Order: sequence, then structure tokens, then C-alpha cells
Amino acid sequence: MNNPPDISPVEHETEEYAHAVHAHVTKYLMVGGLLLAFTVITVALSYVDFGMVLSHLFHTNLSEGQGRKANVTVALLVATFKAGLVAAIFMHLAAEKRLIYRILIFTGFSCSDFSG
Amino acid sequence: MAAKFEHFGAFIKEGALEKYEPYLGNKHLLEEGLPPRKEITGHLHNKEALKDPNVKEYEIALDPVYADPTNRKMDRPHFWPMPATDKIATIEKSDVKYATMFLPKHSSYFASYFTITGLHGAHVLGGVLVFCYMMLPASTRIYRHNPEHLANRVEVAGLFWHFVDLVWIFVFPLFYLL
Repeated sequence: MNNPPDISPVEHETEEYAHAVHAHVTKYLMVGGLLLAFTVITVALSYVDFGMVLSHLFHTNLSEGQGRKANVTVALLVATFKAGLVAAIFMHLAAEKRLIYRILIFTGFSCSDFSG
Repeated sequence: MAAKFEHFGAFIKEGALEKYEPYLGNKHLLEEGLPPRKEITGHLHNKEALKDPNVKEYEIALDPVYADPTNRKMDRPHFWPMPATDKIATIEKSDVKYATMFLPKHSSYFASYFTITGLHGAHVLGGVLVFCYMMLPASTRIYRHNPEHLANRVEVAGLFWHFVDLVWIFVFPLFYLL
């Protein structure tokens, strides 16, 4: 009755597992490629003067400082999206259970306390 | 923000500590069995004193501790920063061993650039060391003995690596592109 459970590998299960690993690797490679593409996009966007673009779009005249702020905002938005990808897929946050999120929110609040 | 960068501290020479006793309250600290204070901090009013040798003294608006040094509430540092008081003190330059504005001395940009990239580089090196450990025979032994154990280590090392990556995603555009 107290015999240890039989954990010897079963042929078809191992195959399924190997298939799942292969699917995971493909997903990670695709996300990695996406991150690289967004790095190129970030570099390209850094050559665009968003102060000028916004001035043209809304027929206003933004100062140099405001234009700089626009560029920083765009760069941070792209970076936030990339960070979201890394956190959700590479760090498995998308597949996490509720407890992990509670701990994460708690950590986030603590950090905002210290930086504030 | 601005107030932070007027913050000034002057270490008093040993021989002159007695002269600034009203600000330092060292007799009181001795009675309490606490170490003496050797620095007076506050907001520097005459900033030209830092460079002009003809200005012989610093004028500073004292931090609360030095405005009321014998108050027992001031014996230990406060958790929250407290604003400087209205009480002005003049400290002769000849009594000061060392004075500082708590600022990077040459360039704020390079100070933050080298701090951030250096710290990040240290984290990357740490991650590389962990991954090297994964390739040692010791890890192979763990894998043969209990694959779940090694899988957990790889998982945690991966989490650390991606956390470092997360930082770089923000550092790269902010420091290298903008």
C-alpha cells in the first residue's frame, strides 16, 4: 500500500511533453524576435522629432523642451510595451495564478512608497 | 526637488568643535552616552563661499537637529526628511575640515550614466556566473539525481536574467537614444 508511485517514463507522455517544449521554444523565439524588432523601432523613432510632428498635427508651436518630452514619452511607451512582453511571456506572468499577482501588487506598492 | 540640491554639510575641525557647541549639542550627547556630532548640515545661503576665497564664512539655514541640538527627539536620525529651519548659522571656513554640497563633482549626467550602466553590468556579470554554474558537473549531478531540483534553479536564474533585461529595456533608450 505504501509503495512509491510508478514514475517510470511512459513513451507517449514523453512525446507529448517534448512536443509542448518545442511549442514553447518557438513561442520564446518569436517573442525574442519581436523584442529585437521593437528595439529597431525604438532606435528609428529616436531620429523622429515628435515635437515637430505634434506641432504640424495640431497646428501649434511646441517648444524644444516640450518636443523632448514628447520623444521621451514615445520611447517610454515602447519600452513599457516591451517590458510587458518580457514580464508576461519570459517571466511567465501571463500563466501565473492569483497569489503571485497579489504578491506583485504588494511589492509594487512598497516600491512606490520608497520612491515617492 | 530644488531644496535637495541646496543641501550642504560642513565637517568641523576637532579644535573648533567647542566653538560650535550651541549647534552640535555634544555635551548633551555625552550625557546620553551617544557619539558626538562633527558635521553641521543645512541649506547653504551664500553659495559663492564655495569658490570665492575672499568669502570667509558659510551662511547656512540649519537642519532641525542643529537648530535644537539638546532636544532628545533629535538624538537619533528621523525616518522622513525634515525641511531646514529659519535659524541661520555662520561657520568660519577656517574651522571647516571638509565641506560638501552632496552633488556629483563634475557632471550629473556622467555620474548617473556610470552608476546605472556600472550597476547594470554588475548584475549581468552575476547572471552570467549563475549560468556558468548551471554548466558545471555539479549541476549535471543534480540533474541526474533530481531533474526537478535543477529545473527550479534554471527557472529562478531565468527570472533574474529577465529582470535584468527588463531594466535594460528602459536604460537603453533613456541613456543612449535621448
